[in-house]
Amino acid sequence: MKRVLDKALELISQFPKIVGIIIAFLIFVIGNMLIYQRENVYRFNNELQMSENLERIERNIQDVLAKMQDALFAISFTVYETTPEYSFDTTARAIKKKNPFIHNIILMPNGIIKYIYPNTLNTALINRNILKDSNDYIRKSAERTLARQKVYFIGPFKNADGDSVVAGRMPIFINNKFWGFSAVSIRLNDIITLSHIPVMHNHKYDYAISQMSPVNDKEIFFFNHIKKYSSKYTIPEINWNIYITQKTNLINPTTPLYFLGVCILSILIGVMAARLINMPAKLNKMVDEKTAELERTESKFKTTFDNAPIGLAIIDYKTLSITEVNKKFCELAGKDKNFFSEGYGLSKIIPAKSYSNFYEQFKQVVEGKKKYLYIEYQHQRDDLTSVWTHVNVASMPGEHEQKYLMLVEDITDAKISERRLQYSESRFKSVFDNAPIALAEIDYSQVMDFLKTIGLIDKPKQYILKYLNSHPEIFSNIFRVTRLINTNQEFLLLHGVNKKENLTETNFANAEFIKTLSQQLAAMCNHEVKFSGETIIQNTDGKSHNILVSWIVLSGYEHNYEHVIYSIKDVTKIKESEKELKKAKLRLENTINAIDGILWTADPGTSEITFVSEKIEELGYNQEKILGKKAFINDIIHVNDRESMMAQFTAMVKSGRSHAMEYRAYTPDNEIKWFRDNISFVKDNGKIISILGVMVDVSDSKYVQQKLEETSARMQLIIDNIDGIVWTADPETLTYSFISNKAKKLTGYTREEWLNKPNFAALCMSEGEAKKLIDKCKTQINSITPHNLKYKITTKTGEVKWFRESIDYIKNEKGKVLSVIGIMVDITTLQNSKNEISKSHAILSEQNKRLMNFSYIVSHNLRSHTSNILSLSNLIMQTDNQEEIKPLLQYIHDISNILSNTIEGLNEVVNIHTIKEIKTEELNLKNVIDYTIEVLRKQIIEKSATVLNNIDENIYINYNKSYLESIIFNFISNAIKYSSPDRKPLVNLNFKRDKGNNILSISDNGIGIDLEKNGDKLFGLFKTFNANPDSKGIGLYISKNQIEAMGGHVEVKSQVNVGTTFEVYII
Amino acid sequence: MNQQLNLYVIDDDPVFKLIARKLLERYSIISSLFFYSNGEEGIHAVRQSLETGKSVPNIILLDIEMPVMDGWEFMNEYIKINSSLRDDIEIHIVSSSISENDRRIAASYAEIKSFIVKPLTIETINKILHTEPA
Repeated sequence: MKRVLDKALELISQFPKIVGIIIAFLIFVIGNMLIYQRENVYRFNNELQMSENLERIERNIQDVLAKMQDALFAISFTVYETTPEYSFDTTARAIKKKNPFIHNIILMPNGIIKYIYPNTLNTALINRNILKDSNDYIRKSAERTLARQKVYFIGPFKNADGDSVVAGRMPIFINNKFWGFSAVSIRLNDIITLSHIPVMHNHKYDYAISQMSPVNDKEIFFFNHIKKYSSKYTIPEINWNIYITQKTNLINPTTPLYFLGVCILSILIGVMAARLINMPAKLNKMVDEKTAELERTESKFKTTFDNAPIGLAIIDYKTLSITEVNKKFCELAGKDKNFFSEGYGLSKIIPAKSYSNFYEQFKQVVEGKKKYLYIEYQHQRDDLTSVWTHVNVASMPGEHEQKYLMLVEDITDAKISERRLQYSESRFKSVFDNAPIALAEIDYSQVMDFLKTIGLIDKPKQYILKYLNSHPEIFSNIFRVTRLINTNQEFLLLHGVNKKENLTETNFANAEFIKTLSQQLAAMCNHEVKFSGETIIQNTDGKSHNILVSWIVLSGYEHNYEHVIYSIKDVTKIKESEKELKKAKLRLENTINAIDGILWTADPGTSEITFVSEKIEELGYNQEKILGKKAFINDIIHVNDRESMMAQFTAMVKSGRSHAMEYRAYTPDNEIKWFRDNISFVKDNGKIISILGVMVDVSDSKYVQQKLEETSARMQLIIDNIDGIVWTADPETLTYSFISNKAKKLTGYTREEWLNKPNFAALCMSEGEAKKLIDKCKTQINSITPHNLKYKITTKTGEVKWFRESIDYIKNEKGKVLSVIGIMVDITTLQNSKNEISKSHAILSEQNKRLMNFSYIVSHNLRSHTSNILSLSNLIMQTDNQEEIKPLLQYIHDISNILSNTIEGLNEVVNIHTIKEIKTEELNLKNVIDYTIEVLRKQIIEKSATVLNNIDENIYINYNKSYLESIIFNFISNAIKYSSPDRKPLVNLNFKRDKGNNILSISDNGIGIDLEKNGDKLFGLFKTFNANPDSKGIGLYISKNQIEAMGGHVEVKSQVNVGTTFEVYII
Repeated sequence: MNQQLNLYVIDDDPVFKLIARKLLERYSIISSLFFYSNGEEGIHAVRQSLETGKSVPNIILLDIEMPVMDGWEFMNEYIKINSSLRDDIEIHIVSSSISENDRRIAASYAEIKSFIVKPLTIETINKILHTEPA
């Protein structure tokens, strides 16, 4: 039984898909059957519902019809009433009230419409005979009603108003004789409403109603129209069929869901079943595949084992013997495969000295203390070749516990390399240690890590340097993580320590080292594998060393800088000597620049400039540009100087003698400068090897020289043109050192004559005047005072000339007088005109004074007289007494006379001054005086005076005769008038010539005049000095005016009570 | 003014003196009237009156232009004795000079009360005497 089942199962399991499909189908069928059953129930229920609905509707319609029938009966009875119209109305109203749905109520005797209620409607219907109606429907139905002799319902039909109505008619028989019809109608809509037919379209069911036409008995649908119906109900009273049908062929709405569920369920079950059935088959297949794979692996293992490039052997721990070996193993052992029969002892394979070590480690592996063992040994094969092997043992998974895999590797080559490496390492070590330069091996890997953590890797160098510069605290960290792997002796020596452990941060913590270190770090961050730079380290004894730093990353460590060979070289001494050299060079440069000139050298052969000192730049030339320039000379030397300069130069080179040249040259600004070039030759064994020149800018001194020449020429010109004499003299001896050419012209004396005398004053002045002048001059010169002199000289030709002399001093910077300089200017003309001016000024002021005096006197004298006349006339007018008037009139008369005389005198004075040309003649002075004395004889005798005319009879003067007579008359009469009462009057007249003046003097021994008191009034008009009532005071005034009109003047000398002398100057 | 006045006239012009006498005699207030021909005579009279205590002038009419001693010289002499006077003498310059210079000089003397330009009139005298003719 079980076998059959198994077999069936097996069979099934062979076609899992088919089985699955079958199961799915079965479930599908069963499911659908269930759905069908369910659907049937649903439909039955539906139909039940429909017939119920129909029944309800039929009942409702029946109700309406019944009510209509009642109404018909009620209205029909009115026919029997005595007043049928009235009864109709009241009855119809009552009916309508009871059944509001009734449209109208009609009575039709003999089929003719007579009464209608409500009568507001259908008045057109009145008198219409329905039995003879043209409308077939109405006529036929009426006939049928009559034929049936009972209530007959018709409709719907269209009434006269066009409304669809349903009507009930009843034939009325009175005494079995047809009387007519009664009719009640209702609107179709109303009846439909009352029937409660659901009209909503979304309703589950559709309804339809039809009537059997009374015309031809055909079915006419008036409410809906359905061809297929589920149920039908007939209302015989009205011949209506009511139908009901389902709106669509509805199925249960849940059915599709069920159907879908069935489908899915069947498919799922089918698939699952197929799977379930398939499982064991798959498992079997997998087992088969695994087995095959295992077999393959095994064979692969076998092949691998056999052909492995390393020696393999399976060994037994328990027996410590070999179970199986591969080819390589044999090869390494140098034995044939057959040699290793099962159970071959390991001790025979592994050399004795390594065996115990092997066993110990093997044991640990077995015990699980160690995973692998590591044994290396060398053994000699039968063919005497030596092989290095490396043995390892690994447990065999899955194998018996005691079986292990032994791996034997040929490491002969590696071993040899290692040997070689060791050798080269030791060689490197000795080179490293004994190298003459300081070397160190440094591990910068931690530094790199640190740089990475602070994010400097791959950053631009500038950024890194800036960062490090602003974070100096980083460096102590850098120093801490820098690991010095090894150093050589030289390195330690350079740092002044004996052990590398003694190296401290202080050896490096100086600004210069930090700077270089920063650059190194920047290089590292940029993955550079080489570096070289210069820096300073501090010895432990504090001494600084200039060192050259360079390092290189060992190849293979470029990624982490773990091994960096770092070398330093002490260049302190080189630096120092460099410094010295620089200093020496600077000294030389300074020396060259200190030379007051531009130093240059040139090649004697090519004339190229080989050197030119920096000073040339001061002139605006570019030092660099001039170097090597052959045409330098031609370029800058002034065109006019070029040829002569080249000629000189060539001659000089030929003779080989040093020479100085002066020439003009252009500066780059096209300015012209003067240079003195001292050119000499540098010789070696008589041969010129270089031309050496020192160029000095002499523009200034040239300029000065030129200016000086110009100035002195100009000076000469000025000196020669000055209308005066310029001289210079020694300040000590006052002897002339220079006299200008004008000396001769102005003084008549030549320069030589001037120079022969100690001074010019001796030449052209009287001795006294010369001494006075020279003394005055000397005192001034001794006190170094610039001063002016004015003096008169007599020229060689005897001419008198006036000079003004300005004397000044030429001093050196210290103020010492080097020379006295004098300029003598001829001011004769000036002086003469000055004299003229002062003379005319004197005349003018005299005239002015005279004029003032004149006007004063005029006003005073005339006014005193006129005011007196005025007062007197006033008095006369106020007096009645004739006796009193008489003397007053006398006074007026006298005053009038005086006034007349005064005016006459004034007239005379005015005349003197208004006559422009006074007539003159040659007069014998003595004769004129004698005549005047004669005129005065009377007065002279009266006073017993003596007048002495002491004048030579040969003296003639050119004068106006009447003036002269008047003058002499006035002075003599004056002398007699003011004679002293104590003496006999004596008047003396004399004449003398003094300095071209002719002087007539009149002296007396009279009372004299107090000149201090009255001097200014002496010659004033009408001034009297004493109480002498005779003195009118006009005489002297006139005389004075006459003398002055003739160009002379009068002087007076007097002593009170001794006498007076008047001196008349006659031109 | 009930006081009796002594009045001096110093002038060299006889005509003026006559006129002055004629005019001044009209005033009753003047008790005595003296005439002098120049400064010297005038100052002499003043000195004399001081010594004797008689006829000390209250008012002097003084000319400038005079022989021997002119008006200014008189003033210089007068200043010397001025301090010994009990009462100041009113000095009036009476001159025909119209020179500004003379006016300036006159103004420089505090003793000179006014500068009268000739002719001498009743109106001027009224002002000097602060009264009118009797």
